[in-house]
Amino acid sequence: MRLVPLLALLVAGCALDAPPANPPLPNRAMFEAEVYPILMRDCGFPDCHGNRDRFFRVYGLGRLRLDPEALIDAPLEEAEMNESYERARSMLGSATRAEDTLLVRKPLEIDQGGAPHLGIDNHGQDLYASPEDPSYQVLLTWARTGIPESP
Amino acid sequence: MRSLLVLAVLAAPSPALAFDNFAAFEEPVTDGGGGGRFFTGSPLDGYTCAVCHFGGAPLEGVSVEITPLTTEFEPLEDGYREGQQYEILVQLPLNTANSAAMLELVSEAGEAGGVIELRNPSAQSAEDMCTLDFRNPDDGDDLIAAHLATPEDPPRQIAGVDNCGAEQLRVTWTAPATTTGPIWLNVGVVGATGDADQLSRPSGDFAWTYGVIIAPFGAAPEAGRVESGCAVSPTGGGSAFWLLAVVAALRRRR
Repeated sequence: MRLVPLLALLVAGCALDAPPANPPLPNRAMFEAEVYPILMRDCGFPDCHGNRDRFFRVYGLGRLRLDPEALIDAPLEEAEMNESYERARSMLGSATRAEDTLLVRKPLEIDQGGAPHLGIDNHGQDLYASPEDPSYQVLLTWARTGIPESP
Repeated sequence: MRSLLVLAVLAAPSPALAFDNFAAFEEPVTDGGGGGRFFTGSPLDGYTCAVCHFGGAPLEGVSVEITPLTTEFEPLEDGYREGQQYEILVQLPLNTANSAAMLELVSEAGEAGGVIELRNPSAQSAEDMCTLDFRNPDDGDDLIAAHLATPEDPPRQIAGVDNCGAEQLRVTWTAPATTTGPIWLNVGVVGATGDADQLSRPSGDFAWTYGVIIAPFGAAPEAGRVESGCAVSPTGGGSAFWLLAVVAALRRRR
């Protein structure tokens, strides 16, 4: 009988360590103003995340459009911003710490805590050399608006 | 997984998302620009044109020539001479209606490698100029195709030509006055065969990237290899590849 509470405690402990079932809800305004331009500049190319074949993708002017028939330079649609936000937000649902999320780890050099990423360039460099990179800091700060730091 | 992704991309040619004018690379991404990315493939801007342009037929006639402007010095194959001036000439492709090019020189320290200057307007040849098909001088449009961008953070120099009918990109490069170690020259050329209709997607573009390490005179660059990642090369011959061995012992720029 004592096993039941013990098992319940263990299960509760596992549940507390697991990532949330739903992606976090990071700040939308910050996404539009600060994160989205970074994603467009560093990620949203047809060969990378401006591609419908990718789970994480970014839509925007001069890049991938939500409507395949849209003009390349047509004004950004609200639906495209929404979808870009949702895709980025979904990349935060993989961990309980902002630093450990895929959105933040993927573009960071592996020896700096990053994750394997096909986006390394011809010089073997990933997007952000260290956590001190200003663009990395923006992504991390934004991630923390959805995943508060542990006390 | 990556090979499957490459096959998927090659099977479905993507639209040509070209910047018709060089200035667009510095325009905000929210306005459809490059946001300060020039995609030269240099150590300061590792992605190449191939991240956006691929799927088209191979380019013909593309080449890069580096010529000392003073004949008393040895050819560049022996390394650059301090303070020496060279002409860098990039020939644009012959078999395409739309093409553009850019180049960048970067030192081992991650700074601009020497000084790039555009040719004096009075010294421009017909091949350096936009054709009348693209520009209208009656409207005050400048027929000079080449431009120079000088971002400051970090300090860089990038030269390029607009997609305006020019046949070449020609600049004068002054090597550093004091030896700074190897200099990376990176060149990117894009050719598009499609029409200007933004809705009807062109069948594909072709990106040709060129990289060479220019050692100081009397020195030899260390050899090595760097694997490429997301910058997928287009199909066909002449696809993006490094022509010379890449320095593995170079320190990372950052």
